[in-house]
Amino acid sequence: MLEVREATVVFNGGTVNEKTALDHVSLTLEAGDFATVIGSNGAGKSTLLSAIAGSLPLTSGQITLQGQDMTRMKEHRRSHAIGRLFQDPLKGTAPSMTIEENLGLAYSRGKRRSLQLGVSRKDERFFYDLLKSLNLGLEERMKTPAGHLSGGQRQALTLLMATVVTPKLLLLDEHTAALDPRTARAIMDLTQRIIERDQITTLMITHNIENALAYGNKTIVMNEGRILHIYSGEERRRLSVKDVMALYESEHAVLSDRTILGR
Amino acid sequence: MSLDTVLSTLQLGLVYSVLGLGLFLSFRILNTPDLTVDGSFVTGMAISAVLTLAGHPILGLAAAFAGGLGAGSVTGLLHTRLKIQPILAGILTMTALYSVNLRIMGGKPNLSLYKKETLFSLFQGKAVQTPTLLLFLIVVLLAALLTLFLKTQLGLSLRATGDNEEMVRASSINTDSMKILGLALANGFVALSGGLLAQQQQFADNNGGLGMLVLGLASIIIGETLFGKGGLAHHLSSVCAGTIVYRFVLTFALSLGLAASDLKLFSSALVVLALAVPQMQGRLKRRRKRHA
Repeated sequence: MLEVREATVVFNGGTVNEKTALDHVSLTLEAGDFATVIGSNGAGKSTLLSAIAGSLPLTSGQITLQGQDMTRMKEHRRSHAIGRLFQDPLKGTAPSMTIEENLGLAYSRGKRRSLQLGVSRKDERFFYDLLKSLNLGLEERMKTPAGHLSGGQRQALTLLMATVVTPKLLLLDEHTAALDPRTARAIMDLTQRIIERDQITTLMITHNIENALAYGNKTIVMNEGRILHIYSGEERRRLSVKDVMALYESEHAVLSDRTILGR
Repeated sequence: MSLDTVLSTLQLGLVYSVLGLGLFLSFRILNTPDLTVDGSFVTGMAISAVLTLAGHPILGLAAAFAGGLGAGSVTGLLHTRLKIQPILAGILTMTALYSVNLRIMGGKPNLSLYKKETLFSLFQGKAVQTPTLLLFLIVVLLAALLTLFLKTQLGLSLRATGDNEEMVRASSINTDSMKILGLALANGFVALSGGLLAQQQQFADNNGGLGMLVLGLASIIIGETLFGKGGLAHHLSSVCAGTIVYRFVLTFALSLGLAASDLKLFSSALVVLALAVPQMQGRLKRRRKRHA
């Protein structure tokens, strides 16, 4: 399904500020996989997602989705098949456009945008039912600009937009981190429901280790631009939050030793 | 103010409303101050005048619109393909257009359409009696078409590009194409406005575009302040109404003794004032909070 081969991203290559953000990362996701990604700040999690989405070019390596090589494909071309959510709820919607217009825009993903009405009567009914399933009362505010919504509401809308046309791959970049705990939980449950309903292959970054182990079927641990380990099956079931914390600690120990030795 | 003055002011207001609609596209929808306008307005004037002289006033307006599309596309290409800052891209096109416009006008700095068949003389004595009504219908039609267009799939993509570019790329839309399309359409409207003006005043002038961006911005800001933004149709109506109000303000200022040569200073000052007021209000509020 998704194949990342030896993906490397180097920032400021050839200068004193050279930084390898992604270091020969290889990763395979099967259709229907829901993988969570954890790791400390600067581990390369977001870089990995950006590289897959196409907003960051690879320095070397290859990315294929369903056998199609996407390495050189432009971001807007890739997004025909990829849905993406960011941590910042402001990033996912167009604030001056109404809820239904935002959905209308997302609904034409992957199609040629024509002079057809952006939100037809039929779309309107479809969006109404879709919004109703969120249980947030948004279906009664379809003509409200998205900029008037709260962070949680906007993130829920963004989630609908990313999945209204079922994507081949869904990328979630800490999409609940900016929300209060209760809203975060609601959005997480909604995410789970949609992913299961549509069997969407998903890659989700999170700082919440509990979530990383509770949701999905694989957990990827990253550090310093590399994948340390991919947990799945029995090994993952036995893994506890404590184990992961211990793993982090040992990694940090290595890091600080290196820092002291100046290497 | 005599009835004649009122009518001619209204007509000018309607002609410039078309310019306002174009600037609304670039300034409000795409969030780009596009200086191409000062050149493309004259391009529209020149094309319209030359074809009117040749006896094709209506074709002249259509060609003016097309000329504006071309000018806007050039700015769009400079900005997206060559990564030139939008303001500089606009200035480059505007400067180049100065020469192009002179060529269109056959090297003459101005053209007179006196006693030539224009759009307005064509309809004289027919169902639509006065030029004012004719212009009013044109503006209503254009505003309605623009509103409708902005609600199509393509229109939504265009609006989202100015609103949240990052999200748009993540929704499989090519933002570069959208910017080119937006700038092209915006300048199409601007050139059409110039084309209408040439036929209305029976005169085309190679320097007639100076300050058109500022004039259009002033109209948009006045319209929004006086009549609000609301939905799309409301917003566009406000822009047109603002343009007409602004024309009346200018006429009034002139009748009070403002020298015609000071108009541009007056317009600029007005825009600065309109842009400064929200800033000042914010600062006042903060100060009050601090003292409270």
